[in-house]
Amino acid sequence: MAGREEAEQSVFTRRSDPSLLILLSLAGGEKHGHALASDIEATTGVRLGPGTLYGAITRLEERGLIEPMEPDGRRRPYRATESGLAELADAITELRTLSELGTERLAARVARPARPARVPRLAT
Amino acid sequence: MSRPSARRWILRAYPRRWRSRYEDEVLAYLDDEFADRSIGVAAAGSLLLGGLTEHCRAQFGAATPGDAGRRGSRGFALVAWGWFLCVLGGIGFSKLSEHFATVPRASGTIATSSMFPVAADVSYVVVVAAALVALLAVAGLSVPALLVAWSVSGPSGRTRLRRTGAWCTVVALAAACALGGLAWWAHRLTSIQRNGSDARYGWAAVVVMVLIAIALGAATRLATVAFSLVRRKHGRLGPATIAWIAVACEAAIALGVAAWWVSVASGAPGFLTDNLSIGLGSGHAIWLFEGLLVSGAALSTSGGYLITTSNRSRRTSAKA
Repeated sequence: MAGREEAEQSVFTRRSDPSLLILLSLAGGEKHGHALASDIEATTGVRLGPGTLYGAITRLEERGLIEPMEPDGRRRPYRATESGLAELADAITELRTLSELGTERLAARVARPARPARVPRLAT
Repeated sequence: MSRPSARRWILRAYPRRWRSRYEDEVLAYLDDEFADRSIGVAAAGSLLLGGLTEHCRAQFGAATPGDAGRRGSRGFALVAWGWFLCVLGGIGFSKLSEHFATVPRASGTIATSSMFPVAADVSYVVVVAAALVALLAVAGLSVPALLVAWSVSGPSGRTRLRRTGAWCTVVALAAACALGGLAWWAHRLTSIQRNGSDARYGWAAVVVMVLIAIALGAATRLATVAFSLVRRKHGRLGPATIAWIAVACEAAIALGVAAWWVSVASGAPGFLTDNLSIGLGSGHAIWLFEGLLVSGAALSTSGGYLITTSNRSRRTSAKA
């Protein structure tokens, strides 16, 4: 049960979570919906659909991780709150740990002589 | 339909509360992204899926302890929609069992099992009795609930009730006129034509189901609005009582239909392979109707749970 509660507490269900991408984008400055989607696409190559984008914005706003600013015409910019930036920092620390572990293990694998049966045959 | 109104129309897939907060922003986003072009299937699909997700979150999403009123309201909606599904399944079952009365006998598929007629009859009686109890309970509790809703709700609540009531009346009258016309047409057919030899009758039964579904949907909407207005002051008309009576009746109906299905499967298997005049096998139709009944019972059970827990948390906060 505690595990389930913990899972519900976390904003990120996976590493390519739209919520993480949005927080990452807002860490670079306030943006409205279209600017957010364009920035995320330019920096990560992920194009969020409008339903996915605004679903994630709704969730983040409900959790107090981002906040809306005064509307600029029909567009409403958002900015990351302090707790949103803290959540992003936690996620990045987690990613860094994963990245270091992965790098370490891959390096160890390269250093070890590979078994011949596992080496894929190259086409000649 | 012009592009802006088509986009606004797609956004109607979202709950009203969500739209009042985000609709303008999303329209601005779509204008920036697509300008005068069509938004395309992918974006439309994304929005429709997003709308469905928001509706599910609105119904099943976790509520905070101070959100007991909204939780109770969601419970009402679930019970009402569960009941709606159950009635649809029940209508389908009654039409199917009427079909059973002549077809298997005509094709000589009734088995000689002595238990078969008794089990089928008993389960049928259970279904009819549960449906009658539910009808009386719903009628007995809904009418006073509507009156209480009218008396305790403020001007905005009364406006909501009046508007929904007018809409329901129009839909119910239109459905009644169409049903009357169909009944007048069906009355002129012979019983043989009604039970298989006239395909038009089978389709007419489908039309009847659709019309009843529309009328029921309207009535369900009215009941949901009324119950959401009386949630703060419902006196003895305990919403949890309504919910659990509905759940008990739905469970009895679903079990009765399942028992009928099992007795038919063992006593007259030929009926299940028989094709109805609408091109659907009797066996498949039974699964469809049983599925509707079980889904309805499951929805109502979730609603009953939400109402009961919202009442409990309200009592707890009142004591505190």
